[in-house]
Amino acid sequence: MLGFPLMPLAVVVEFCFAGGVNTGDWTGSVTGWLIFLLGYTATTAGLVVFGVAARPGALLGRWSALPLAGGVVGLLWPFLAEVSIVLNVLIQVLFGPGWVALGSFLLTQERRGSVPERLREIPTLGCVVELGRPT
Amino acid sequence: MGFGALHRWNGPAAIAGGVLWMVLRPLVATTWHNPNFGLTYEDYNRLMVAPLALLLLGALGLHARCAGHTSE
Repeated sequence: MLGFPLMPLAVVVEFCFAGGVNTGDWTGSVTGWLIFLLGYTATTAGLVVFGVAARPGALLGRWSALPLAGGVVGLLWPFLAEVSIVLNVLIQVLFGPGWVALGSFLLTQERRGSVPERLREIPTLGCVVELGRPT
Repeated sequence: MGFGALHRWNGPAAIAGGVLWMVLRPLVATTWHNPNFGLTYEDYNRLMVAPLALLLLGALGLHARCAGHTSE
């Protein structure tokens, strides 16, 4: 969660202010890229922690494997992206369904007008460990 | 923005952000030196601000719910 805001910030710095490494200011673009890598690594590592700590099916139902899968594959992206362009694209697309699942879950909860107790037990991502505790 | 609005919009924001991500990331990944549909790698990356902002809204909503903030 702490790493995620760095990703939009990095895109703004690299492509809106610096113009990108291909055509814009090199130093600003590389600074943006480094911010993105930091945010990306923190986010994917957080997804792995979340996926391991959350009991299967506890939060996202049948989609519960997505955070862990997204996190593991996301961490492998810099290495797997070099293998082929198809693999590179597939890995990057995989990040999307997890967010759609999370959105569906949040929308369902909003319509029900209730917040599950197990969700209240997670004040921060670090406290997601609470989710993994047997009840 | 109050927690009520955050609760109301974080679900749709996460869904829209996820769908936009799935559409834009392949285009970002394949346009490094070859523009696609008239847009360059830099253009697609600028467009990526939209899904990232939407996903951030979704993440903030989850965080607010986890912190116990209700929509009332």
